[in-house]
Amino acid sequence: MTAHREEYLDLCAAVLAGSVDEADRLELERHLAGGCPACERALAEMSHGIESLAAAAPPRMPSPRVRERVLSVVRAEAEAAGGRARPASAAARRVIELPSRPRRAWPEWALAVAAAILAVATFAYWRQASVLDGQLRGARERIAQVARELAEERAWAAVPASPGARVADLAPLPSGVTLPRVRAIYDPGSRRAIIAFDGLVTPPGADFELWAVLPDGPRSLGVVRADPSGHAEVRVPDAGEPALLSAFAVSLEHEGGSTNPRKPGGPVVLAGTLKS
Amino acid sequence: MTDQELDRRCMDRLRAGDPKALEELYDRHTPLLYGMVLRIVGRAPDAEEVLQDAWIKVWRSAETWDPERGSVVAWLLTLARSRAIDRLRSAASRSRAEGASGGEETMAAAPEPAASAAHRELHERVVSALGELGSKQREVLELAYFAGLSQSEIASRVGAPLGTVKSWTRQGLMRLRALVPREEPA
Repeated sequence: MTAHREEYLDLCAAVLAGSVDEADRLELERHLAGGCPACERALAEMSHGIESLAAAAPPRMPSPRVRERVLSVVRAEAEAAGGRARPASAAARRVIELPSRPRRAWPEWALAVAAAILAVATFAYWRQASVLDGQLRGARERIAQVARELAEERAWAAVPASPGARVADLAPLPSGVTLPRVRAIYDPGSRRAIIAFDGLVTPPGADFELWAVLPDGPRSLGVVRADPSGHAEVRVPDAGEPALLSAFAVSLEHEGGSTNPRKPGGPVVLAGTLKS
Repeated sequence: MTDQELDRRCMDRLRAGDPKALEELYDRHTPLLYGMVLRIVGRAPDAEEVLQDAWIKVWRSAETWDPERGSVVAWLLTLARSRAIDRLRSAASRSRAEGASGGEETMAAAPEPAASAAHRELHERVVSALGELGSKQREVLELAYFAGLSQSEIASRVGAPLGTVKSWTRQGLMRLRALVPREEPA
């Protein structure tokens, strides 16, 4: 650990405010690696200041839909996981007393050998328990991950089946290139959208870019690239407010897409309005 | 029971997989988190996306909260702010962020009536405390926390030496702590 200096307190403040320069962060990390009571105390004290600073923004409530969406994801994952790891119950840790046995006298050397065997066995048991514990933790994490993926897939499968789903078949505009067939499905309830491309052949040195059309202009949903069969599916977790999202469009861009995520750089070659 | 104790109990239940615990935390802290996120990203649709991601992250990584390293609120604020700053730094937000310089107009906006009286009172106390700081100290704190600028960027923005910006940041945080005391853990 480097010796404490007053300047380190300034770096603690910068870290908390989220504005520390990289070189300073590394220097502070080196300093704190061995522990520094003065800096640790300052970090604890100034963290209260940060909580206060956040409250400088006027408190606001988001749309109730945010709460609904968060809780629907959480509940689906909790249900799929069937609850995460819970502490072992008291009953599972109950100790059963064994009846006592008459003792025999053992020579000292035998006791020493027995103690050595016990020590080796204990160490081996501890190592095995550690390995098993790690494997169990890994298995739990994998199960939770699979459960999350399953819940996510279910949510996407619900998009086309949603009673309020809106569809847009994107119509080709004059472009001089072979255009894909594109259909967009948008669920106003979850704000998810799935856009399917077929017959997608990207001209050399170019890329097709997908756009959501909103009142304040288009918003890029990214460059679309097909698999070898010419198929692509774009999943958009939040395509926008139902009252605002009106259409989808596809532009033909230089390779890599438009440099401006709010404006196509090339011509719009496909467009379609969402219909109920 | 203090708010901090309620939060810690919620975190214990969250780690055990209880969705109701997240619901309680959401209702208790969303006005603070959403106000902060909205101040950073500037637009309600972006702020709602960021907030939604942050709460789902809270659910999925509850076990990473370490009570030794700070309060639940501090952890929630860190998760939400880092996402908000990422959004702010995206190409789409860059031009607006530089123009807004920390969003003075949002700062001046009135709290929403739907936010609880406790949140509104805390906000008023903090605004009043910030008013007691020097204008440069206040500007430095706001540029750091809400505009996501580094200390070097702030120094060049306000035209002050880097060392001065660093000490203003520390003095500002210490002063805020003194002016707006928070409840201590029981």
